[in-house]
Amino acid sequence: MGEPGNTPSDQELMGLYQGGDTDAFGVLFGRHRRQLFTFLVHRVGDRCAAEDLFQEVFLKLINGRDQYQASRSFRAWLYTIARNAVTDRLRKQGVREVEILESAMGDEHNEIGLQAVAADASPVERLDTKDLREHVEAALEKLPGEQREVFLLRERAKLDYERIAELTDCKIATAKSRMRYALVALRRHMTEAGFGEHSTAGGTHE
Amino acid sequence: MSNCNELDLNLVDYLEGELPATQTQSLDEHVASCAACRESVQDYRQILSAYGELEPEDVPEQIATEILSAARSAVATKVPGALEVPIATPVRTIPIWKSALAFAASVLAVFAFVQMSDQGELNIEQLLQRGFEREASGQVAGAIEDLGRAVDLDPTHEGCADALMSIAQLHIGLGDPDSALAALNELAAVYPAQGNSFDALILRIEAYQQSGDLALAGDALALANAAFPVQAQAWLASHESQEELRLTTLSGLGYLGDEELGYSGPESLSEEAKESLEALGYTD
Repeated sequence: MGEPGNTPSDQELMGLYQGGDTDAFGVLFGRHRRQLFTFLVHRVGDRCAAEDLFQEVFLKLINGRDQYQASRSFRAWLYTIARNAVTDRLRKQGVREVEILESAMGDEHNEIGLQAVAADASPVERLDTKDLREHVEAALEKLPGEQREVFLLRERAKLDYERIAELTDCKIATAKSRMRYALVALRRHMTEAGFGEHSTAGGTHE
Repeated sequence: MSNCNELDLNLVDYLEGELPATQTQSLDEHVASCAACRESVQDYRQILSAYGELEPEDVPEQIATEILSAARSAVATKVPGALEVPIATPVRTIPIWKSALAFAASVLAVFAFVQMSDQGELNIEQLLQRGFEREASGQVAGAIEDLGRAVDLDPTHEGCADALMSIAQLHIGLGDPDSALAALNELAAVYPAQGNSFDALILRIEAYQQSGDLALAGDALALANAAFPVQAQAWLASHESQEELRLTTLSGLGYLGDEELGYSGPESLSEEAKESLEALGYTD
């Protein structure tokens, strides 16, 4: 498996596993297990469900290993499988995730967008870092599914917007718009949770 | 200089540093002069940074082990006609009392996911109940854990035979034949009748197939056929593609005396069993 001293890429490791090298799979699995599991926990908001999804994703990857093409990003492939598994599960459970209205992303953005929120928001700056992390995590659970999905694909899976758009079957501008709304909503939820009460709250735009 | 709307429209690209230099500079100037935009941009940066600093969670080690084992099995069993690692596809009919439990579980599901934190306090009955509920709702890892703990507490307790069958089934679903066989062996040791039941023999066949041991799979099939000819023939008819297994079974007839299966040798076959073997195309 790879020359000593060289760090094989994900693509190389997957190619080795396709050829029967199970040690290569072990390295690949070790690289991605934590981020993928965290992605799933934050995506479905339930650890037990995330554990099952995690197994499902890797078993699909193992069974579908011959379909992987080295020209493709392994991470994008892994998260495509994960995203589809999550979507299937939510559909089977009859969960209809809240969808943001398309109009909210268009001309009316000023009404619910950055400025409107900022006008009465309590900034999260100067919060205790640990508290901040915990509250970001809690606020994430309150996001509509599509916003949470894009946020996690970008910030956890580290996919670029082109891939995210491809994966979620939308335009790049839509993916970025969902991210923007995710940020606005996260900030709002954190403010509603009572954070950042300080004198500069509610600043006005110049 | 830019305005608030322009920042709003380009927020994501601005935060990512993806805008052209001139536009970035213009937005920088706006942010420096507008208190509200400055606060919000600072907040967004902090939110992103805080999320990035969250310690990633890790999957339980048991699940990791099962996946690595499945990865090895998948490569090891890569022979023509071999089955791929199935993804938790139940092949066994769920007993009626388990279906009732599944229904009860679906009612309870209204109160969200059952995720008890007091695992250490559950008694064997509770472990069995929750294990079967989890099995019915596809929570494989949780089901294996609960049922396994119940069996560890008292394998002779009512319900543990079914628990061992379920554990074997679930491990096969995960592509972990060694663990499946361990459960089947324990079943045969504590409950000889169930351990040599048709369902248990079929699970054994699947486990041996997964581990690439077709000779033992053939033995188990021959034994199933001898003891349960009607079911075995029906099973074979529904698995016509398994020609390899048929042939292996045939060649395996010479060494059928697998103690583990509780079978003492070809001479113990009844006339009826011998006839059914012949009907399947097996000859001495």
